[in-house]
Amino acid sequence: MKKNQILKSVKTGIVATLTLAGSLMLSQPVFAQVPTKVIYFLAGPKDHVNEEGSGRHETRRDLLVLQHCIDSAINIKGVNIKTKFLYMRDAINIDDFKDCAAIIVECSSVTSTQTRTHPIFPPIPQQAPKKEYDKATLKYLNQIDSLQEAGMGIMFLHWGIASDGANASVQTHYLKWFGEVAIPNYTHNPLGYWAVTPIKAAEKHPILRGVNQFMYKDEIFSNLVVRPGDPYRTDLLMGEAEKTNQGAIAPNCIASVYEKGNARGVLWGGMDYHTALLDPNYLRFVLNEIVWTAGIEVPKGGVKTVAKTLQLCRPSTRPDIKPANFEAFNSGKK
Amino acid sequence: MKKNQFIKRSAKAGIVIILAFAGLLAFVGQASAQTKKIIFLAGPKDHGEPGRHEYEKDLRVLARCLDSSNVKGITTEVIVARTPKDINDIKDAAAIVVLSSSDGSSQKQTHPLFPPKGNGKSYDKETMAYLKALDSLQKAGMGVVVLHWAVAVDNWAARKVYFNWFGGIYISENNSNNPGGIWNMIPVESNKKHPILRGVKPWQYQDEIFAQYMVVPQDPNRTDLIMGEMRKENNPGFSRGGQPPRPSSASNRVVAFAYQRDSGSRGVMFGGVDYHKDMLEPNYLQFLLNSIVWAAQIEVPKKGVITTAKQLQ
Repeated sequence: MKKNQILKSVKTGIVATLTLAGSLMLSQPVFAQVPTKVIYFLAGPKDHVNEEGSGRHETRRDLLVLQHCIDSAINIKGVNIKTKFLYMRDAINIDDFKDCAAIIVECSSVTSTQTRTHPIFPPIPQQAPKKEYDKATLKYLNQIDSLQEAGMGIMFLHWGIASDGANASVQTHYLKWFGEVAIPNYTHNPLGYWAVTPIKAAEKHPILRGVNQFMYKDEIFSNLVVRPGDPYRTDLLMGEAEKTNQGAIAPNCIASVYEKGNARGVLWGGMDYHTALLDPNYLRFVLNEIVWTAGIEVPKGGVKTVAKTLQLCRPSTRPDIKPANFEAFNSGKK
Repeated sequence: MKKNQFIKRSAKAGIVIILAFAGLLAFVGQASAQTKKIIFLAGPKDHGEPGRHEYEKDLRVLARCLDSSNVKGITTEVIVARTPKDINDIKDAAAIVVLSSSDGSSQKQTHPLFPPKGNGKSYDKETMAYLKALDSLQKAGMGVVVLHWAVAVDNWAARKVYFNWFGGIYISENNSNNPGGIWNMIPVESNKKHPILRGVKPWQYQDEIFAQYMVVPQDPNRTDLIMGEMRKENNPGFSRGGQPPRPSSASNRVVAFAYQRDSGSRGVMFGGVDYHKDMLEPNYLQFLLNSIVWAAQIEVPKKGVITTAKQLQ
């Protein structure tokens, strides 16, 4: 081969290499733009209100439906979502959370019994000084702090939000993660038909995208307390009920979210009745919360799902009287 | 005098006397209705160096300031180390002002309204009945201002009462705290039209402030009044044992708020008032005086309560 031919070959090689490198560089951002986010659904045991499948406190079945809805979401762009389901988690280490964008927890309260009900918190040690956890447990909870600060969102549903009567470290972590906390003699759980209205001042919050006022039946753990003037908290929903098992409930804030740096936290005290998942506004609100908790952009109009199975329980046959304004409220009238 | 004339004249005179008497009664009634009694309840001085936690002296200064202020029709009374379990001594108060240590600070009673915290959950029947009467008194219109460590009550039954009065509580065990140092105090801009903030401008002073309260979100009855912050540059700390000084700070937070219950009754919670010398700070003093007057359902003057009291220490 002559010298010129050798030079030509070298040139051709360089061009080919540069072209390949260029195309790789071009294709790299495409990969980078589609990150994977893993959302964990953690159900505590169904430990009260009849057997599983009867339609209330369906910790496992509620979350399976929500997982199915997220898996079947059709309008979430720019992210590959993976979901995992864990039932009755009892770990006190964070090994299973390390790839996690969000943990979504539905369970009974940490104070409800001496056996483990809460996938995050072990039972309160009744005999320990000030009912405090041992060092290993406190270290584990501090590690969850670190995970949240690094971007792992935390969302608790229903009775799992109620930490009143727990020890100081549980209360402190609730405040740190969510900016709100339940307290004795005040936090309650009225059961009835709730009229739920998005808060006007928060209407631009991603979680309220596509969420209109709705009326539905629920037992909502509410009356949590917050720090006044806390810039990291956004109040989202007001709720009221003319008639509940605890009397009439005046309008009060029933849902807030917390965002401080990379850390996101959500407490939602509803999600007693499995049938609530059939209400489109309720379902969208909860799906938006899950997506937002995971640090994913909530689509315009809210999360849309094509999930077919929204019920994993048999429908209740008990007679039920809805409020007179049920249909009107759900069609947008006051 | 004929009989008819006599009867007519006597009747006229009688009517005049009755009207005059009725007018006098109305005048006296009006005058007494305009007088409002403010009772200051000081806990015992149970800790702190001279000049700090001077509960009685602080309140006596505040009472004197009101007695010599541009608000007329106020009478004041100072009660020290109150311990009763009935409401007889305060039932004619338009407002009470409480400055003391917490109910959980000692085994002895330090808080003028609540006995020692006991089991922390509830009290005996007699005390619960007393708390119910106390709450009814407040609900009927008696204003309450709580200051410094008196904002902290540790028994949950007492906390429930505070919740009714203030829509918020101080929870010492896991959230609220009381940093001490040089504070920057700024009236909340969005609430500057609240009567308590009349004439009150930002101020800087030394105090230990009990704050980081827990309140109800979206509560229309609560008005946040003052934001407070301790900046590192103002609190460089002292060198101790050869160690470099450690600056202290406290994040910006609501340190004072007002509450108007659905019944119309009023309450103010402010965790400052540690150092007696702070009474010399005019904005701080005016904020306190405005708070007391407002809680007593008295109109706060346009430029705030102004006192001509000479002895502020």
